[in-house]
Amino acid sequence: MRTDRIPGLAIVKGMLFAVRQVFRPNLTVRYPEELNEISPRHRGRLILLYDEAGTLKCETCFQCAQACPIECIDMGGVDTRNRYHVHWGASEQYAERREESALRRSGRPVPDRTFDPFEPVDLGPLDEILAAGKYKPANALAMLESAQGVYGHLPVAALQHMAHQTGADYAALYGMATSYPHLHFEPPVGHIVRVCRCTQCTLLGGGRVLAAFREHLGTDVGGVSPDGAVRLDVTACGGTSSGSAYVEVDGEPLPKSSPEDAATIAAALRANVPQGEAA
Amino acid sequence: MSLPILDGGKDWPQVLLARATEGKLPDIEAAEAKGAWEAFRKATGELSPEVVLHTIAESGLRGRGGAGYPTGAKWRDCVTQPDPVHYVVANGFEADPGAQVDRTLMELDPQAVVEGTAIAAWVVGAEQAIIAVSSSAPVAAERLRVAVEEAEARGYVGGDADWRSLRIEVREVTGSFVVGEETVLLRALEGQRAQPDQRPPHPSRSGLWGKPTVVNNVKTLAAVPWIVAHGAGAYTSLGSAETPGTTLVQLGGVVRKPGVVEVPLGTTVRQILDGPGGSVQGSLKAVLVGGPTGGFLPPDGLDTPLTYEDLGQAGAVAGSGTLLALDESACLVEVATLMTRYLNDNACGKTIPCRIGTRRLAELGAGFCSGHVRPRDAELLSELAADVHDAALCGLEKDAANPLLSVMRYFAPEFEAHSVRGECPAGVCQPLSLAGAASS
Amino acid sequence: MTDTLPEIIHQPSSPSPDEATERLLTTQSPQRRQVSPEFAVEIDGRQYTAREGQTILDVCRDVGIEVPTLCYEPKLPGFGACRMCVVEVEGEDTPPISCSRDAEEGMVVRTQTPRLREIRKTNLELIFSDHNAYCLPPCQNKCPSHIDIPGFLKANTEGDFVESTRVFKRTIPFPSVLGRVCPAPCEDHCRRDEVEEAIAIRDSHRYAGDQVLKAQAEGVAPPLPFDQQPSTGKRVAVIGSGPSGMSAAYYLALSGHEVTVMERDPDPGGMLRYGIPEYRLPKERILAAEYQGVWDLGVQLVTGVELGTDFSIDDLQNEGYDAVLVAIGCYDTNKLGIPGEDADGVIDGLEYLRIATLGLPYPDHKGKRVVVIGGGFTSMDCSRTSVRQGCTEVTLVYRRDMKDMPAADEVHEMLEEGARAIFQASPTRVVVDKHDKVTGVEFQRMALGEPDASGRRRPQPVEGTEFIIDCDRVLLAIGQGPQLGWLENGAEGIEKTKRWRLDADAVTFGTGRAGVFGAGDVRTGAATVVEAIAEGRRASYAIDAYLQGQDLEEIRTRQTLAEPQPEFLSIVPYTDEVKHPRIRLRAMPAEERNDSYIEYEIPYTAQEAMAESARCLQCTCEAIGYCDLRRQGIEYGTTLQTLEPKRTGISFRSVSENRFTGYNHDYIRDDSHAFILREPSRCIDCGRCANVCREVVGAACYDFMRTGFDTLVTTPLDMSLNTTPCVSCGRCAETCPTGALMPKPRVLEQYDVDESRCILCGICVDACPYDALRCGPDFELAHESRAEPQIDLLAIADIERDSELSYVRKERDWLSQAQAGGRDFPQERLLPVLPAGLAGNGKTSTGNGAGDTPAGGAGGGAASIHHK
Repeated sequence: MRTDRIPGLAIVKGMLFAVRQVFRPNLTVRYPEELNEISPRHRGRLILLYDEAGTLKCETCFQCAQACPIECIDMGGVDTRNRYHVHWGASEQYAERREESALRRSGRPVPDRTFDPFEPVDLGPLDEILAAGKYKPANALAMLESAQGVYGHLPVAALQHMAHQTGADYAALYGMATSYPHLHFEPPVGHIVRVCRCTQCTLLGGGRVLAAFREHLGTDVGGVSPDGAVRLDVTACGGTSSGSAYVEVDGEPLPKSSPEDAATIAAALRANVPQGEAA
Repeated sequence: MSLPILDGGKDWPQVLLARATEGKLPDIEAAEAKGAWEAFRKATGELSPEVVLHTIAESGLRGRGGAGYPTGAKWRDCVTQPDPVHYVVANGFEADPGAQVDRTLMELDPQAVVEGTAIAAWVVGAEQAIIAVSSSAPVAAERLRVAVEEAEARGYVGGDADWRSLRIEVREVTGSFVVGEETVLLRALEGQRAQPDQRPPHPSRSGLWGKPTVVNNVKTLAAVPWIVAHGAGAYTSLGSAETPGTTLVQLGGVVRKPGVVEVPLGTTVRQILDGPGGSVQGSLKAVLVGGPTGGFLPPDGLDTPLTYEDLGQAGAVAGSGTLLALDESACLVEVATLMTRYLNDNACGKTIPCRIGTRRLAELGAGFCSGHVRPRDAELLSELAADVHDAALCGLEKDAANPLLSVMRYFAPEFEAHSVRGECPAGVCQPLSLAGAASS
Repeated sequence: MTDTLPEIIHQPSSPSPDEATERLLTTQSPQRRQVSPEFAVEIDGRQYTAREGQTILDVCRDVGIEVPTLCYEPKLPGFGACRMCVVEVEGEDTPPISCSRDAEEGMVVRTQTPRLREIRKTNLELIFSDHNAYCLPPCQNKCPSHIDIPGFLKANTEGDFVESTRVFKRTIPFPSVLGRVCPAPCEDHCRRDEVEEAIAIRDSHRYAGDQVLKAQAEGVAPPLPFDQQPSTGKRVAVIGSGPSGMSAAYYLALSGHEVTVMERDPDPGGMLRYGIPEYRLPKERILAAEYQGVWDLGVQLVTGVELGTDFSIDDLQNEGYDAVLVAIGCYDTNKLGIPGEDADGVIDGLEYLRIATLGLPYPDHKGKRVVVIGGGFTSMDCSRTSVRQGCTEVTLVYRRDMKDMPAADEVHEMLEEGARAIFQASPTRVVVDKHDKVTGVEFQRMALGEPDASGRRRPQPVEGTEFIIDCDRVLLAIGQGPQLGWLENGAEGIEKTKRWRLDADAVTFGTGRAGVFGAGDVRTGAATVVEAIAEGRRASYAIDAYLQGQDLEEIRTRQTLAEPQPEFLSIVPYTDEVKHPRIRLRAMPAEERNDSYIEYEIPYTAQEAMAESARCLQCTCEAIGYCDLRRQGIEYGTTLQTLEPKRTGISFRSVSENRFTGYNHDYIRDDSHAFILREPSRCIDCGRCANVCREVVGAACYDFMRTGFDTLVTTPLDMSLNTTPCVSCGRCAETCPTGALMPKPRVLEQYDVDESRCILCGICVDACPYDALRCGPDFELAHESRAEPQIDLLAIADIERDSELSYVRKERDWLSQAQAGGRDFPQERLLPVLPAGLAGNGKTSTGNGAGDTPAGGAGGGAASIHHK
């Protein structure tokens, strides 16, 4: 008897196949509720390497987790004494823990200025300056100077904005700014005293005058007196001083300078501070 | 507040200030009537860069910034660099707050500076040149800008022709004393932190933006057109044999006539003081040569010729080209100490010997002034000075100890009065009695 | 153009396939030149080959010449901030710095000259003059043996007294003995004193040592500081079983030598046994028990033999001892030099103590009136034992003031026990009767004059102030000197000093005779037990080095490195509201202890000991041990010592040996970051962290801030590191030459990758700075790695590395076979990496293979290999 002659058998076969398919388990998973399991030989699987000594090379520096664009790495570490755990997860800030033994030794807190509210500055003019400077870090110095021209000093927010806009490193930018004495970081003050430190003025007692101002203004060159009233700065007389050292007060050169009247000048300046300008 | 130009006497040649006319703003017609830009036309027209370079080398022109490096060698080193892009930087940043030599030159004859810069750029094949001016000299900057515009108008620079496509930029730079140092000036022009770089490589190999750069003082460049116009031989006939030419010197202190004067190199300090300076009022105690990093010369050392080598041997430097005459009322120890402290405050703080060493030098000097002297302090000072000098990175660091050293060297009695007996002959500083110092 | 020019010139005409391939495979980076011209330079008088583009420092490092540097970061070009790597180049007046000076053809370089050392020394001293930090805690500085005091106090705090004792035994083998007899100079300098009161350091290690001894009595071996080395077969004779000799024997035995201790007396211990009374140091319970730890190491003891009478140095060396250590101490009591000194009744204090310390009654000493002359520990023991011996009247007379007494802190206990003391009086004659028996001593009052070298005021006699103290016995305890009679015979080459001491070096302890060393009181004169023990330990270092055949002169530096040097300026002040007063040992009432020889101090309880140790501030620098600045400082002899508080006139601790003192900074410590600790006071402004953070990591957290003397490498506005772009990779702390930046090591706890979300981008692998991460094995290697278990990553890595080689090799073989078979194959089938020789049949020689310069080929090759 030849089975292939049986009519309708193919149909039955087809039906059977269809029925079998109906009872097959479904291969599609409902991600993320369900996850496909990944083969242990999966080519893309991340592997932590060991060094020759057989210890993990990983230093728990979190750079991979930080670099991951989809934040699918969740890692944690602990210090060698198994006390302080760090963890880098999707929504976790890792620098939260403190090291006790360090705190024990020094009771002084670290100024954490970024969490202080910065003085609000209007970044509009700064953006114009940056545009004028073509957003080039190369022109940073010129930009800083014109920014100081606008704001009267260099606010932290402005520095950070400039670093952010030009792509310059904030630390490098700030360090550069601190290396130029004419760039200031304190808000403008009521008065400014400028003393020439050239050799001729030094010869005419400029050193003692400067020392007197240092003492009575309570600040060093380039600083602001504690009450924020007077800034002590340097100027250049170009060798034209005669009789006594060249001193400018609020841009006006003094006819004569001496340590004695330095004290009186300092007192007078600190006494009458223009309204709203003293810190 | 600018200083007068002093008459250097009949026999003193006028190279840098030949066209200088005090008071009136120099415009290009007046300047060209007196021969400005002749040299540039001659060079670009008849000569080849190699010939001009040869002429400069022949003339024995050396850097007037103080180091005295032969200009011809510097240019040649820059030319031979494979990098196609070269720069020329004219250093008009006068670091010494007490000097206005360069400023005077730039104010009175900006054309010479611009022309010299243009010739230098043409020789080394630079497309861009920068004239750095201290922001404390706005007049000079303004006049230089005018001069550059005029030169562009004349088509000398800024044109489209191959060698005339040079762009000259006048940049106002603000900064502390250390910015006068050439590598620091380059950093400042790049808008970086004012910190010097290790040399070698010299800027002539890797300077602005890492490109070969010729950095010359404006006095040097201002002499270039004269040399090109008159030939190397004419220049070598000026000044002394080994260091020909002239330079600008500023006279200050207790001289009767303070001001700026052009002197041929090799002239002795005494000649300068007595000639243009109109001698000294009162009794001369010392002459400070070269500004904050310079050294004191005693009255019997005034016959030192004004050359790099002789000044170096005498413990001074050409430096900012200032001669400061001191009389008996000055306490040299105090002045030297304050100058050292000034240098330390203006240091960039990169290297240990500079950041801490110069500070300790100043503190040692302050100890002498206030009478807090330890027995070995005197020799300690010289030891430290020698080590700081040898380990130095930049010129400021290298010369920081000059003032104190020269005081120890030439004015031993006054120094010992402070260090041993604890008294100040000039009556300026009030040292405690040493017994009190010892007990305290 | 000129970049490629030398390469073309120096390229071998036709490199053989193999060397070309090997060169290609050993190329680290495509940019590096394949062939860079080499030339000869002379460094320190020897010829070396340098490659073009190398700095002098590179060359020196390649050939293993150490040029000191503090600011050089190998990953970066030279910076030139520290000026420590100055070298002398012939023909240049000022020395260039080697880290940024290229080596040149025929350059003659000297790296170590007096001038250079001077410059470096000055630099270091300048750094130290503004280095507002400290290496070691002051207590450890002041301890003659430099015990790791914070270490064992920490172990005490955790109640781990065995570990505490182990730490202690690293520098002193006898914690319990020292816990009783040490004058504890450490406690005078404890920083806890700035808070309320110094820590009871001595009583703390006394307690720990006692616990170990208790355990020892129950059969638990005491801990060893280091593992005992296998036997070296060398024999060492140690003469004298006092503290110095025994500590030397202990550490010599630990380093594997065979040690024999010669002792004159029937029992070992020297002064510990015969000089210190039982009530201060129980002989059997403590001394013998702790010595047992030395015998357990295999040290032999020979008693009853005396140097000079029974044997001589010659004999020992003839017997085949490789080294001999003379540690016989000081046993000759100095003479008064006054009339009647040898009368009947004048007794050598040491002779008396030999009996009295054991608690035995000294012959008819009871009921006598005794005068003790002297102010040291010996005199104190003499008077206090005399009280216990039942003397009716005990008077101690000292020629200086009480505060000048070496044993000042024992005086009040002596007075409690009923003795009396007279100060500022010195004997002029001994009053005797006709039978030459002592009836009294005449004294003369002394006035205190100017301070002498020791800082103590020199007494001068005052005429007409004589007075007589009636007494029956006089005990002389005015210091001792060593017995050096044995030098006369059989000790050629060994000398004595003018001050009648054994002449031995202070560092190498070598005498004039090879293989003979001297340490302890016999070298220094009578000193404290702890100093003697320190001498013995250091001598054991020297002897060990000598037995290993090293030159004694060369080990000086290593000796100093082994010995922590005291150095610091001032310390960040400790601020704490909570005050914990010191826990003192209680003592029995005087009337009880007067007639008893049992220990009169009541030891701590465990809680007390732990609580007392917990008061330690642990003030030691975390960077100690890997601080370059400290290493250089020790090597160049610029380490600093603090002034004694009584000698410094200024508020902050100052430096005595630094030539350059002056204003120095005191910065705030930044401990706000989880894993990087910033201590700017320790910063030397080398700029390494700034450069590495900017150039290597790319975060740029630091830079030079401010100018002049106040320049500091720090964060903007000196902010906390948390506010910078810090990625906490720890590179800055890794490169910091000092303790200014300190990493806190971390261990990976958990590493979860959500692989269902991972997009296989591989960015994480590139981001890892430690090459600790990579994707799974590549397809080409899958068949090999299948065999490997997943965990065995080493093997996989090896397969990977091997495969890169084999891949090219296979290609090469396949090519050669193909060419042999005369087959032609398309050009693109060639790997671009293949060197010219491999490209085979002529037409390709103008094509891909041969046209490439090696550099270009390597570039393509490296790229193509990494690409697949």
